[in-house]
Amino acid sequence: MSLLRRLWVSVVVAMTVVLVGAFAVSLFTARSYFEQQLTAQASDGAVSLALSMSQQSKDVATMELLVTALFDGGHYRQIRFTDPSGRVLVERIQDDTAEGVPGWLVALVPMEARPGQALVSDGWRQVGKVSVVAARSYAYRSLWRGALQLGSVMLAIGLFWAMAVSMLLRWVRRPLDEMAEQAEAIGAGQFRVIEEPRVIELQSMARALNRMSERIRALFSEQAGRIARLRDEGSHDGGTGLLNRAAFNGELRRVLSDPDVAPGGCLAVLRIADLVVLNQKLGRARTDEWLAAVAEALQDGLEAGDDVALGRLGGAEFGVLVPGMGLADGRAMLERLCSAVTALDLEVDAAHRLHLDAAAVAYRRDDTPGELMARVDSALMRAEAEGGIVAEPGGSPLPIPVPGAEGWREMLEGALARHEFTLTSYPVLTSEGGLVHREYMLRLPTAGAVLTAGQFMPAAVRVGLAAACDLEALRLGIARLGESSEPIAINVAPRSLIETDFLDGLDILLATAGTGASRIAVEVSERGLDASLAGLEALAEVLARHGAHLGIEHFGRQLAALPRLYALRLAYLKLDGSFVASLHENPGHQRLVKAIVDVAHGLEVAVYAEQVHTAEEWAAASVLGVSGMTGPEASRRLAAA
Amino acid sequence: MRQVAQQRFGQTGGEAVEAWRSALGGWRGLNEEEQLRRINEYFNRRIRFADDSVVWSQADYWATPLETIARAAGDCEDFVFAKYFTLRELGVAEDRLRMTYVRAQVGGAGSSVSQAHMVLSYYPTPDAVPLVLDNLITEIRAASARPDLVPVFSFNMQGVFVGGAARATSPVDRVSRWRELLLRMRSEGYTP
Repeated sequence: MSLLRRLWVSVVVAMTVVLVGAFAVSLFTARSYFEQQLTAQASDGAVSLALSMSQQSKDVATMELLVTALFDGGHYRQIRFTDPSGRVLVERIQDDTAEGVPGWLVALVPMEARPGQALVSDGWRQVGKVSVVAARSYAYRSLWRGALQLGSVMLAIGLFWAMAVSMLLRWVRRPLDEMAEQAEAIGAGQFRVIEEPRVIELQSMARALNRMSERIRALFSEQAGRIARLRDEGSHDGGTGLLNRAAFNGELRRVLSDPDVAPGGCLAVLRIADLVVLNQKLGRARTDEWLAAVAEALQDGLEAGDDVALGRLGGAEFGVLVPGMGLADGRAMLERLCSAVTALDLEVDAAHRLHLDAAAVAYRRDDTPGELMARVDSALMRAEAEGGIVAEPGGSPLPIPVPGAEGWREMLEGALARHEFTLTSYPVLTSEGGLVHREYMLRLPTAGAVLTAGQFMPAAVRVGLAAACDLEALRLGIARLGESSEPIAINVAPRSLIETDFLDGLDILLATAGTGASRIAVEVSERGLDASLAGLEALAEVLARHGAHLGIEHFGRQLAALPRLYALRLAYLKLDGSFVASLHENPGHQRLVKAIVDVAHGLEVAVYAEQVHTAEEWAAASVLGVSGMTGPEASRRLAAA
Repeated sequence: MRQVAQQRFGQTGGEAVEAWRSALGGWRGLNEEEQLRRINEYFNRRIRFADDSVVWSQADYWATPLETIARAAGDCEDFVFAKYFTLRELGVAEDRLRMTYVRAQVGGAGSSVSQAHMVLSYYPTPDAVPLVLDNLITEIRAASARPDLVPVFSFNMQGVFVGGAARATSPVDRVSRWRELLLRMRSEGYTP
């Protein structure tokens, strides 16, 4: 029972006791008063009757007349006249039941009317004794009427009282509820301020809560801001805000080795001609302004995509990396970007207009970053020499079948129906080499080649089969639970979260896992989650219901969302590979990783590193407090063990 | 009882009460007629007749036996009550005694002057002509021998205590002079 309800009950009980007590006291006072009146009346009646009888002749007829005269007044229940030896000479008795008065009142409040007695004499001779008992019925009627009136007044007072107390308590409860909501909201990472209640005792509390809410908000935003700054310092170019060369290379390495992204794509480089001349003519400050304008134009010209990376590679050189894009599309993109920059119409003087050279090359996953950069450099030199845009195909054709949307749908639906998907796994190890879990990914064996998730998932998202594929992965994963006691992690496309049937399907599948569900983690890529993290809450709820865990992979961009992720009972974060690349040599990334680890530990969220390629990176991540590693180095260590 | 009297009425009061108590001891064991005679004589000699207005500065005051004895003064009711309670204490039955309001002719048989008076009547049997204990004359005479007294109304303790004598503190009892007198007596420590 709530405190307020208890308070209400105690007030109502006290009130009832007081009212009932007052009612009883007044009832018994009235009873006592009536009894005394009846006794006095009987006594007076007896004396006056005896006095009259003493004065009259003592024949029985006169005696009867006198007795009857008094009795017929109706106020007496019994009048009896006895001679000195106790023999009854005259007696009158009438029924004394009070009509209209309930029997229980008579039983509950018995009224005793004492008889009055007086002696009758004839001169010195004793004649007898009269005994008179007053009628109680009219006293009972008065008592009943009084009780009814008093009772109704008390009932009215009681009801009014109870209502007033209820209203008062409701008035107190509202600010209490608001404060509870506010505290909940703070827990959920929303920092709202409530109106101060009018109840004085609650005012200071509400004020303190508001202050705390403000402070925590300030603290979190400060921390998130600090981390974002660290990230930008380490990975972004100061002048243009684009990725710096190291970060772009890290991204390139990640794209070339991550099995989860498209296994081929397009790398393009744009270079402003004659930067040296510009510098001389305009001065350094103006040149920087120009570069910033160009960067902005390039950013605007790129279609927003998950994996598109844009970086400033050197003085006047910009790189664009688009996984999954064909060379023809890459060429079209470059033309669009060049015309966007030209449209800026930046003029130095009549002789020098801003001029861009651009080149694009296709790549496939087997390429190394060094080779690829060398190839794009030579293509760019060709472009400078020839003028215009150069597009070169990669060293070998990409093994991507491109069946078109309907072809994809047919192929995926068939594979789902026939359960043709298989799983491949990548270990996540602790820094000491113990297994944290195995991350499973779908593979689709086809006649030509085995397709990776990175190859077919974008198509699955387009044709609306992402959720079905994710559920298939989960089904296969749960089937593996029985084979060993290892925990598993399954990837889920962000897109699946907003599909209606996905969560229901997930719920049913997790139920089949039983207690094994606690060994399942479901992870969602941070890329593609919109800033509000819609859908994650519902997913977290379903997972929590079955004891399964929630993880975020490729984390590192939406740092500000970290406190809110905590509200989802997040189990772990996987740091995006671009922050891990050459971690041991990059102090900026080291600071960033340290900051993320600190915040995450404060929120009781584990941090793992993705794409750990070398023992040096492993050691550096471990020193920074990262508790799990995945990537080629992890696979190597597990195989060695 | 004596201390109460001494406190309220001084040394003589205390002594008077003491004397009454010791006299009372002497009357025990005598036959009723003798007791009546002795008591009537005792009070008629010892107590001086005086109006309530003189003794108690009240128009009409029912004094307790203790008060009457200690003060050695009282009007007709005070004589009657003192005699009544003393007789009751000696064991005379309740229904033999009655307080009787009478109209008394004063100033001889031919006088037309009369006054309200009270005497104590003693009925040896219910039908008998009572003996009259009067403070006006020392001698006890049969009612028939008292042509100067015309009885008007009589009462005794019976009617007063009918139904619930135990509940002596009911407010209605306080307005009854009888009950009030009895309560005062009880507070003085005298409960015959």
